[in-house]
Amino acid sequence: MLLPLLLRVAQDTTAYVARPSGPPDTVSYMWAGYAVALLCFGGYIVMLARRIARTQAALDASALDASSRAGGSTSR
Amino acid sequence: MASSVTTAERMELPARVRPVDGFLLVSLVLVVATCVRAIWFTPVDAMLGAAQKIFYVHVPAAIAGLYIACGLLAVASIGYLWIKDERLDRLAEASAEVGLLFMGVVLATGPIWARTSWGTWWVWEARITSTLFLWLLVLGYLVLRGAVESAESRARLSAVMGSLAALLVPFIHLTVRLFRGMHPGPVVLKPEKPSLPPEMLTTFLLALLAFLMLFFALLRMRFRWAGLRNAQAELEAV
Repeated sequence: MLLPLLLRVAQDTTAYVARPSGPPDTVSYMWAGYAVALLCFGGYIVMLARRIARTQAALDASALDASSRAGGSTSR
Repeated sequence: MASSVTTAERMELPARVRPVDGFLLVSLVLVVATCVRAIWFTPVDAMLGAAQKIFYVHVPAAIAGLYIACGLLAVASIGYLWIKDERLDRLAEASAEVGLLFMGVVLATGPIWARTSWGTWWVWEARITSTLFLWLLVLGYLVLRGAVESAESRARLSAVMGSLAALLVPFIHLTVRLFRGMHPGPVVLKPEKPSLPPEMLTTFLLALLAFLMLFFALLRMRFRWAGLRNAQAELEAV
């Protein structure tokens, strides 16, 4: 009876237990977490934007080439 | 020669895709606003201090990366095996890549949070290990796609792998109940009421909305890029 209750309390990350000294100083870890997330998402967005721009340019060039070879135009 | 000219003339090119579109910009603004709220306007956890605020990135990224992305990967893969629609293959591919990103964020932010609450960066317990295993499987899925040249074989083989990989997700969800480990149980996605104070719950729900929007914005961009890439490959083949 007591053990499951203790386990639940121990595993509850949102339990509010006031400490006389206040919460531990973990601000640097918070910043590290947000910085890592920002780096991952930002890096991926930049990579995807570059991919799109490069493929769009190549597609435009290929379409122009194909239409000039065909003597007509491709439709968009 | 005459037939190839006709193919080029008949070819429908996909609509132009902007590298950054309005949907992505709106979702990015929402993500930044949520982070500002989480960092400066949400109470600090009395036990863990400010590091607990990683929760507002870690959990929404897990919901998007594991449940939404892998769910879409499975549905699109099974759908492709059934009706062989090329768009489903593209959706599966896009879900896998964007899901890999979100799961990567989960695996990168988790240890930082763990260091403050458990005193260690990594623990080989069921939920963390199975999430890493799923991340490696999805990575393998993308590597497989790059290794097969024939478009039809690539789509079919990766659809089989994608639908099987997603089977891990329900197992990962249940690991905290099936095994004893250090990872906390669900705080919000559980049958009972969420165990969060109202200010934290509001921030969490905003973060969930923001990261889900970001997920779908990236998924849309990735899906459209795959369409451009396929169109270019077809044009080059003409």
